[in-house]
Amino acid sequence: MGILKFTYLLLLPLVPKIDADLLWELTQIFSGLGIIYLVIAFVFRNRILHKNKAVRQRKKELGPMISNFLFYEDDVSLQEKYNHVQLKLDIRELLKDNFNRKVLVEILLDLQKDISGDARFRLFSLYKDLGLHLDAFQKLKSWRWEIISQAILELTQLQVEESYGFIKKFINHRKGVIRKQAQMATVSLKHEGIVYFLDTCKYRISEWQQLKLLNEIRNLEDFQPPRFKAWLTAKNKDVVLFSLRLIKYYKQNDANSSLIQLVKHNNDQIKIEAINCIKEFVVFEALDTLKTVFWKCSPSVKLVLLDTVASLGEDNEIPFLKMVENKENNFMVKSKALSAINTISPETVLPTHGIDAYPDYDASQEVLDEIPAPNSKEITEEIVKSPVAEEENVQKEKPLSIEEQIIGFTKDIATDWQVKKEGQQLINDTDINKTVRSEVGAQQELLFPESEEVGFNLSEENIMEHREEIEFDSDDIFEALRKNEPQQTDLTDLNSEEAYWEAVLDPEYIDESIFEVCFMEELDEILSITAPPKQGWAPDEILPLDFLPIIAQDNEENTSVQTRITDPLWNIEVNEEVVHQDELFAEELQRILNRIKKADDAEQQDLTDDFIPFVIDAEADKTIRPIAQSEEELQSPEVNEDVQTQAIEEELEEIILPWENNQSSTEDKADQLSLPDIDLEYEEVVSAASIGASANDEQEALFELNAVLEDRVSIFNELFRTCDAESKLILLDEILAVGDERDLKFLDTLSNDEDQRVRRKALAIAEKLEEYLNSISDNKQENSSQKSDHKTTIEGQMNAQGDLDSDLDLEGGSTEDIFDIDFQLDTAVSDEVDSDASVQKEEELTSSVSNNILDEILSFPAKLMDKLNG
Amino acid sequence: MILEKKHLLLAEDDELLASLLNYRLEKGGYKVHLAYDGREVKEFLKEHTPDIIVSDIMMPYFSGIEIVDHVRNELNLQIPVIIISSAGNEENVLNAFEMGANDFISKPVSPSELLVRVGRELAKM
Repeated sequence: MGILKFTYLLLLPLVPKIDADLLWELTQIFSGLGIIYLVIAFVFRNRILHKNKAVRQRKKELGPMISNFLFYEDDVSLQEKYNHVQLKLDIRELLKDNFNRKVLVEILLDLQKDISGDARFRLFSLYKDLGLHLDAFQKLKSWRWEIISQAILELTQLQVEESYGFIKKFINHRKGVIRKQAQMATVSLKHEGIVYFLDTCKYRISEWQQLKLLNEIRNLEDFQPPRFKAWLTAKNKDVVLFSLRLIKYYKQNDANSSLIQLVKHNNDQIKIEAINCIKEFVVFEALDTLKTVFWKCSPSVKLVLLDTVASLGEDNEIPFLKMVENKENNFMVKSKALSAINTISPETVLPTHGIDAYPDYDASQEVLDEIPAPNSKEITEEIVKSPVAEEENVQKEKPLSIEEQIIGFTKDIATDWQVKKEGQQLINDTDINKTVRSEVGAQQELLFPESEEVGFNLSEENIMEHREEIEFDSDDIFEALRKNEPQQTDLTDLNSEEAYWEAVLDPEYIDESIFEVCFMEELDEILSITAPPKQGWAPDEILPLDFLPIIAQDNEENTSVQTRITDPLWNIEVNEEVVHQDELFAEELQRILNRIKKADDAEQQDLTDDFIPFVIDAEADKTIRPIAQSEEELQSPEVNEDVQTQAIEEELEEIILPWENNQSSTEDKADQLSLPDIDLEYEEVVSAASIGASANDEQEALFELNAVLEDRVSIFNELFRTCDAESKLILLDEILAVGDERDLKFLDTLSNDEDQRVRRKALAIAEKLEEYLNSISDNKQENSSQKSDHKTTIEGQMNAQGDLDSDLDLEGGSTEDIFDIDFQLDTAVSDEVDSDASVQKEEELTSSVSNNILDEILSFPAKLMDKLNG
Repeated sequence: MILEKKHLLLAEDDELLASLLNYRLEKGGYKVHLAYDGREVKEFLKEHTPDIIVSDIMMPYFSGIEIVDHVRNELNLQIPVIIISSAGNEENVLNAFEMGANDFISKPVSPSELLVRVGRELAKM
């Protein structure tokens, strides 16, 4: 406060002195002006209110009169006619007053917006009948633009066509409001108004005005649009633009040349509209012009142009579009060019930005990736390459899990099959491949334990389809055995071939060895029976893994094989309850496993050969397999055969001779079959494969291969074991009918039969059968030379499948388990090993065996039912 | 034989249009009662029950939809109701139909067409 007071006192002498009288006078003046302003506002307000009230009142009075005029009809009563005439007189009097005329015009303008139909046309007529349009004409002469505009609007809304001549003069009025109102009136009052408008319009036509004009034209009844191409040459750019839009709206496609020419117009709007018309009318001739003008166009025009090229263009436009994509700097134009390319040729340009790099999808790789063990791929590659010199290295590879081996081996086989399918050169099946495939056979037989009408399907896809099932079953079995098996067996000792044969040839384990062979043969038989002969494979029917007799994880006993301990295959336990309910079977199996457990594992080999007893053949096969020394040998059938045969003989001498020295009984000879017969039958397979190849049917050859391998023992052997003497006599007749060389051996065994009748008849049948077979052999000898050419090439193919099936030979049995059978030794045919066996003899044997296999397959359901029925 | 005229309640806030329609409907043989807003409609309905109601949707105080709701749900009258709506006012028309309106006619109104629609609705009764 002190500061303010000080400031006031300081500035007080500087303030000018004001005369109080003057101040008073100014106050009076401004107060008077305020009062005048309020009075004027009040007066004008009252006047407006009074006027509105008068108009409203007059409208109420004139409304019924207008209604009467609008809906008057001649067929009314005389009184109504009198009233109508009276109304005419009254309204004539009212029209003398300008106010009433204005009110009438307002009424008519309001009503024309709310009514339609016939009443609306009557209203237009009434407007002219009352002479109100003359007032509008007078207004057109006014110097005030708003009056003129109001008059034009009134004449236009009330559809006074007579005003057309007066209004069209205002089209090029300098006042925009009048000009626009006149343009609308000209277009709407008469159909030819649009022509006049386009011909004479000098001023710019706004976008909004064009829309309104187009809307007016659309609402014209019975409007016949002129050919708007006539105005494409107008000097007014807006007229040209409006004409282009009208051309597009009315689809007047008779101006293609003008449209193409307008693409070169310097106005972007005209360019765009012309291009749109070209696209709308599919003017292919314009493509060259479009490409020519493209580079000088603005981005907005380029976008439309590219869209049109995409719509009209074909593949020959793609180079242009790619050039645009490369040269154009504008992002939107480049994107449009790519879009146009994809429109013309879909999926030509693929997304590239933000795309992460991934390798191409490989199903086999996916299979391998899903397998936890890392060495499966390496093993598979070595197997495929299969150089003979690397055989030992392969054997020393780190053992794989069951799944890995199955996948890897089936992949290899599937590859071979694919090669055969494509008609390519057949692969040479080397020793390692044979070994591996025999392992595959063992492994896959683990997959197909129970057979109903199931066929093999070794394709990789099918393996993958059932992989989860396999995994589940494997885990389930492992888990069950881990829990229930009190006595564990380490099979790692069975890796060495020498150790295995020591164990096999040991008299202490001779029964187990025989059992192994029988077990293998029974399995092989069952699997061969279940395999479909020629109809292909049944992909969806892969047998579960639950028949496996021995699967368990070891608790680690041998520290020298630490690496294998981690693999469950090397640590197998046996649960007899799980394996088989038969106590005898369980005891036998356990003895075998105990023997295996004691075997030396210094030279461990693939576990696949060892962890299951019945894979002995595969091991032996690997040992004595003939080795192709060179590529020429592999490619030469004769040389290859000789080498193989020689190798077989050498191996047989080394392996079988000591064995034969220790064996005397006929049944014991069956064990000898395991090694030499594999290669003997390998030769037979070659013969069978050659037959199959002549038919050019790989599955047929494979089936014959199976048949040869699985029928080492007469099929009557099994029947004779369970039937009585009378049945045996009947079966002997059947042997004569369908028998073959194999059955000759079986007939020899019957010489020791208990029944004298059987012994006699067996000798007689044997003589007759031998004569019959000799005659067949002579007949087929002639054909053998022709088929021998195909023998070697098919050999590789056949080994793939043959080795799969050569290891197991089973026959089904009881109600609970098809494999629950009484395992007995079959008659051996080891003495039949003859490395000089001719091709003719092989073919004869193969043919007869194939027939027997077919019979056996056909009779298998009956046999199975017999077994099930006890 | 003199037939009793049907009573028609016309609710329209535009006096000119109301007058025009009134003239046309009376000429068509109906006894028309004019109401210029929704309040007048309700006042009229308290004391009278017309044979048919022709109502504009957009009216002061109470809209045509509210009139329909009032007639159907409060008065529980099953008399025909024709709605006059502006062009493009489809949503209000659908609402009116949901409330129980029998028919509608859009502006600009053809008086002759309205007369036909009124006669048809009354014929349904």
